[in-house]
Amino acid sequence: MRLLVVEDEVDLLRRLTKVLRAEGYAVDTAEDGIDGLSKARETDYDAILLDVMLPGLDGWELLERLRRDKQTPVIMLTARDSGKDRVFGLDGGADDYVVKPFDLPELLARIRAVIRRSAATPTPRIEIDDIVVDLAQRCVSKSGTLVPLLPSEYSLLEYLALHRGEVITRTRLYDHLFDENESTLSNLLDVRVSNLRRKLGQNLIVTRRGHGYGIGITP
Amino acid sequence: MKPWRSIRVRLAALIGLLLFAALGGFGSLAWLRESKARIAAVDRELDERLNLLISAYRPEPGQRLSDVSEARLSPRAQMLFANEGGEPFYHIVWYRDGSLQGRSEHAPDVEMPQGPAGSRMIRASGGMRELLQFTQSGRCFLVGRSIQPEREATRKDALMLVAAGGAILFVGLLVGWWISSSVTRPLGVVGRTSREIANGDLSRRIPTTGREDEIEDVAEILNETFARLEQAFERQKQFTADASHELRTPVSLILAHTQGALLHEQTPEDYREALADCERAAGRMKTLIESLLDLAKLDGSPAAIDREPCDLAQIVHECVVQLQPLVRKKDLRFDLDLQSAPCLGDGLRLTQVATNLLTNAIQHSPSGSIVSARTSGEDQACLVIQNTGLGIPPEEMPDLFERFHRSDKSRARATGGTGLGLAICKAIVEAHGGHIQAESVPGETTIFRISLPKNEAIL
Repeated sequence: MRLLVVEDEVDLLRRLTKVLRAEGYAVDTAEDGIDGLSKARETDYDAILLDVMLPGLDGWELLERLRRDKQTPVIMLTARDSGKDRVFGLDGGADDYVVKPFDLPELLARIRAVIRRSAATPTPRIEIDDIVVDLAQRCVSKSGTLVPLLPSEYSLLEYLALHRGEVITRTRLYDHLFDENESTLSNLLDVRVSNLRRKLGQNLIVTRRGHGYGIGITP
Repeated sequence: MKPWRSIRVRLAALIGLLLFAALGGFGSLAWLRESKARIAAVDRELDERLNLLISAYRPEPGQRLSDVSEARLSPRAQMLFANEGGEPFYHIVWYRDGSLQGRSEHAPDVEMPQGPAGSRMIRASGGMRELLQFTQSGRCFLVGRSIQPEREATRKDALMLVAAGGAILFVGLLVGWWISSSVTRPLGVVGRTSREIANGDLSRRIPTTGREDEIEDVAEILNETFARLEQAFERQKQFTADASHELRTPVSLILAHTQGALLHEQTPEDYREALADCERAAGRMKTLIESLLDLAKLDGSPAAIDREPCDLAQIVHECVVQLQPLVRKKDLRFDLDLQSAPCLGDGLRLTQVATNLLTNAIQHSPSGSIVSARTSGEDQACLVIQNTGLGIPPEEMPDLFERFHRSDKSRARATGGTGLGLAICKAIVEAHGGHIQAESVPGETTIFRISLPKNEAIL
């Protein structure tokens, strides 16, 4: 999953980015509204964390303009907590609204929820034959036994599982699993696929030659 | 409230007491006069009859005293002694030896009284009033009358006076109660309304009727006090709201750093970094809190400023020296014209102001430009700081010195600004009895001017 975090408080931005990357997300950042809007338009992020008080273009404006073209899930972060602000934010097109100071584990859970909702998988577990992907706990078990995965491996699996039945091109996978800072190293993706096959079985991830990968597709 | 504490009761009781005293005094006096007058009338009649009696028993020329055994009454005396109408008089006359010379029909049986010869005296015994005359020859004349009717009349008088007085007193007490109520009722209204306001809604006021009497004065003073209280509470509420809002940012930082570090096992290096991040955020909170406390101190008692002789020129000079590293870093230059500007005040505080304004000027100036600072002391101690740069947009000028105002939100964060700098400057300058103002041409220049009262002692 690839996220965009738009926040002008540099310390907070750095910390959020670090934490999210440790969770396995690819993270792009922006420190003002204008940069944030242009990145959000350019890339199909899986979710955007958007601070309300931004220089350049404030969060409300950014959201309004973004919503003209894209339905990317947006979680707003703000220090303003009146009921009016919440209504305004949610009505304005935000998918969730979190008040600072926020509880970090809660924020992470909301990010997961908002991604699940947009992938039309409201339940937190995806079952594929004997493999269960727990989206909330971010872990995988096979035949009831927990299979340890690297965060990057889990991310790939999660994306494929959420888009089960679709063929996902390599480009799309790159777009969603790597952030702007990583150069496109084609084998990184292949290495992860092969690790997953090794840990979870050769049949889980299917290759359609010339097109891409998928779960539950025909080769 | 206990009855005796109430002014209404005491006032009414006082009026009642005065009325009682007045009525009692006058009533008693009148009654005494009347009863004295009655007795005096009886005495006059006794006197008249005694004189007639004595004449009637005077011996004729040639007659001896002992020969006179009957009264020789004049027609008037006869009439009087006939006792027609009214209470009957009686008389008795004794010879020196105690034998009777004469007596009236219904005279009581008494012993001959003793007394000095030639004297006349009055006596009262058993409801009778008697006038006695002792002659030179030793005889005793006595005229008397029962004064029962007079006593009756006097008693009736007393009863009537008590009844009338009581009725008047009763009416008077009612009037007195009404008078004292009409004074204390408005006081009660003021008291009750004040308590309600103090306990509840400070935006209410005591209703005034425009009468402009003593009680209205008190009500107006109370209303003014409530207004000031309401304002003070509002300011405090606003301040608390602002402060807690401002503290949200560093707190969310600390929370994010600590919770982030606790999510998974981290390397010692990661933990150290998280702790350093927390320290930085806590430092920001510390600065904010110190600034807030500073402001609160300045707000509280403007009189608590140390007053010592200072010179703005010297203060600015020292600030400039301190700020040299910052100036060099931004490749700026200072243009100084520091004439002596003596004033009375707190040197540390004034340094705080100068440092704040000079730092602002430096930070808002583009690289390579000039920051100018001028002090002068002609009729006031003045300091003028000017810099070129983006300036301040006109819509922000009115709120420039307000707490937590920041002209450019992200810039303030980057430089660690609390938004309280100018508010503190204003508070300090005004506590010294001076003025601070700002002018700006957007895109060109910004000027801050401070003026403080001169140090009179130096003149």
